[in-house]
Amino acid sequence: MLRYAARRLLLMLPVLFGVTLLVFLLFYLTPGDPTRAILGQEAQGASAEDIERLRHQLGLDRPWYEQYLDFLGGAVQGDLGRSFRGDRPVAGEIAARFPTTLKLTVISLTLAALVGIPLGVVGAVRRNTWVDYLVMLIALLGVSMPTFWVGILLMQLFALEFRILPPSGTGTWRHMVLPATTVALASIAFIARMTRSSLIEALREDYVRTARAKGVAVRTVVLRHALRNAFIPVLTTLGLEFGGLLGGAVVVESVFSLPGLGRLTVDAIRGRDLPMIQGCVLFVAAVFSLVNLIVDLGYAGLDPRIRYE
Amino acid sequence: MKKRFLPLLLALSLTVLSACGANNKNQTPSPQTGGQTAEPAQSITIAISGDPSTLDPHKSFNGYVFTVTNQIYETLLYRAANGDLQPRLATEWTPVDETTWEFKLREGVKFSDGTPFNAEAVKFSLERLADPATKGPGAFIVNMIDEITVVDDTTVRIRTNTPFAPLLAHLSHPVTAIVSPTAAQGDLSKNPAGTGPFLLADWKAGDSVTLKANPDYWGGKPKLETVVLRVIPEAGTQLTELKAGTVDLITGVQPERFAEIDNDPQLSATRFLGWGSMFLGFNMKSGPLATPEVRQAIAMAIDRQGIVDTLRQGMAQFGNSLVPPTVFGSAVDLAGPEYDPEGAKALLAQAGVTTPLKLTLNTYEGAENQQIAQAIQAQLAQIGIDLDVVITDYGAFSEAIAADDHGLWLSSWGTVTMDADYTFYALLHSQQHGADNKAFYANAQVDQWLTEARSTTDDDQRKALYRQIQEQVMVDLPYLNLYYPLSSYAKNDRLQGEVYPFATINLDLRQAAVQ
Repeated sequence: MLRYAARRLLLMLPVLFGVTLLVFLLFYLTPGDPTRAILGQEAQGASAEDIERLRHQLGLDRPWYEQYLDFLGGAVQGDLGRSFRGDRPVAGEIAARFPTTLKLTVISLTLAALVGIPLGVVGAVRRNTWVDYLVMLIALLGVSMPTFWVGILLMQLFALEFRILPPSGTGTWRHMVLPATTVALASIAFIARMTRSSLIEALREDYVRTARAKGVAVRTVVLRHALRNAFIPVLTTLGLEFGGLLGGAVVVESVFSLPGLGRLTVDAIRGRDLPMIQGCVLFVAAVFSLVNLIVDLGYAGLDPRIRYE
Repeated sequence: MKKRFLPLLLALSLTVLSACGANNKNQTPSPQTGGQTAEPAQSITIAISGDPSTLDPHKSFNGYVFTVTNQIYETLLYRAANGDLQPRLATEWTPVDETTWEFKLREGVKFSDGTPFNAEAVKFSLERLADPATKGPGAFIVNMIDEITVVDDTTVRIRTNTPFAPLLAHLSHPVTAIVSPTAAQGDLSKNPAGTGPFLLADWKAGDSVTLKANPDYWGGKPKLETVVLRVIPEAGTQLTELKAGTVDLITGVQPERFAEIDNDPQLSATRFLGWGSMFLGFNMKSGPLATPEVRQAIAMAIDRQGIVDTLRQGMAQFGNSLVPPTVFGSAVDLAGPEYDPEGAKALLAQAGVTTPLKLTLNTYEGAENQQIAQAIQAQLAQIGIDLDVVITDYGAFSEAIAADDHGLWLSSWGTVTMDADYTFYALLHSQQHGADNKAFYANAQVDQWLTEARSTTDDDQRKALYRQIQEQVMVDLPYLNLYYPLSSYAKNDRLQGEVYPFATINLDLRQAAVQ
């Protein structure tokens, strides 16, 4: 298993290399001049020479491969460079934003799993009864409502009507309640539906019938035998959601004024801040790959038949 | 399953949660961002829409940065709410010759790190801004300065490469902030040291900047002990925070929400003319827009007063000058094309233009731009112009109009120095082709007037020259001003005494207090 993990970690290197190259090329194919974007709407009155001078200072007048190799050289040594806007270290900016994103991800996914998995189990056990329909209706509602709308609704309700939670921002755990609930509502639906369908499949297996015939209680059969086998696709869903959310939840971060990675990345893209875009994407890709690796290793814990040699 | 999976999951989430918890502890002692927790009496929270990327005023050219740095740093001169240039770090200024100004500096002022403020600091700061090594995008604001001479400790002379009357206005721009030469040896981007009324207490990137009163401020310690500038990107969230009482002042108010604020006895909203203008540009270099009649017809086909009255809901003021009446050099009563779609049609026919005429209009994302672009599209359709509206983000927009193959574009512009030279020189001078003169406007007479207006320090003569320039522009029509967007802010009435000249970055809290 250790050897497998080590090999997977090594394989991440070409993936990350590919990601940085892709970002660099896409950046050059996307319309939008970084120099102009940095000057922004406020910097009118700069002459053509002023703009050229700035382009030179940022190193944007060099051929793209030279810029790329420069970035790569730094990145290998752990230096992600300095941002175009504000001239600040990229790694530091990411480090300042990541805790918020991590907190939001962990709290909302824990919430989503704690609600979604039981809902899915109830749906599967009481399949095609009104309970099942109700559960799936709730799940469907959760996934159909746009996040920004749910977020604004929750904010109006709990921050303005009842005045029991702060509307937005960070600081205390109470600030995380609304955004985490907003994110969780969307994820609950996925998790519940995945749990339900794979549990229904597992419940059709022969070993379930055997166990029931032996006289094992329904509860034990469902929770101990079937659910464990049904859990692999659920774990995959959780892993994907986890990895995705660690990349930042732009909409929720904007509505609830959270300083997360999503806003940092989107602001960087809007501002054509190449070093910041590179840094954010590279970081998110690395985190995503790591989460996937952990999920893959988790399969072995669930199903002893899965072995990593 | 309980045996093997749950402990794994628990262990995993505990490790992660404890990692978060450790971080949480660092944040909890700050009562300001706690929202609902009891705040000290003289503490306010202000919502800003974007994140300051640095606290070094020389390294950015961004309004969010200046909103913060203007509380910590000061400039030599200051543009007051009535439009006058007032003394700040400079107390007097006199022209020595055509290209040189002498400034007397305020005495007994110290930077927050203890370094004395003097002529050396002024020289250091302005040279630092212009130094290519600083990579300051705002260096162009001082690129006409040739030499800065320290006469004595409290006297400094600034010489420009050509006679440059707007120098005083430029030295009121927040990018020309005077920084402590000692602190600048370190990292000013997070450890600022200025002479301003507030000091940096805490900065959480992307979240908030907390300022505290500077006890040694030369103008007297501000009444407000703490000012928290919170980054709240969504205008809707800003208003919710204001209504919930967790924020005292918001900087962006959507026009349709004013009634809601006015109905709340605790809140008040203010609208006023800022430094901005919204204009339509015509690429005169080639294509149909090179024909003066086509530009004239377009100008006559757009119901500008109608746009102001019905679309902008009281959030705009109509005017023909390219700069609002608040700006020095604006021609308030300038006559312009009247709304006359029939006349516009006749003019097109007279010029021999075959309709439908296909043209492109570029603009950048934002509810206001989209609304106006669509209105223009509909109005031009009536005179047989088929307008293709292209809305992209600002980066792509600026690239789309960077070359010379664009048609019309819709953009807003801020005359941040409050001196018409800033806008007119950039938009109209033929040397600015390739920079901001994207109309490729070239009129030798106008060029000459622009240079002349820079050379004289006589205000009346400058005003007269700008008047001539604007009258010529109405004839040549490289741009059509649509309106001046109003600035606005809303506040909780417990905050009193704030002065809000033109835009958020000038917000003056020196006399403000919580009642």
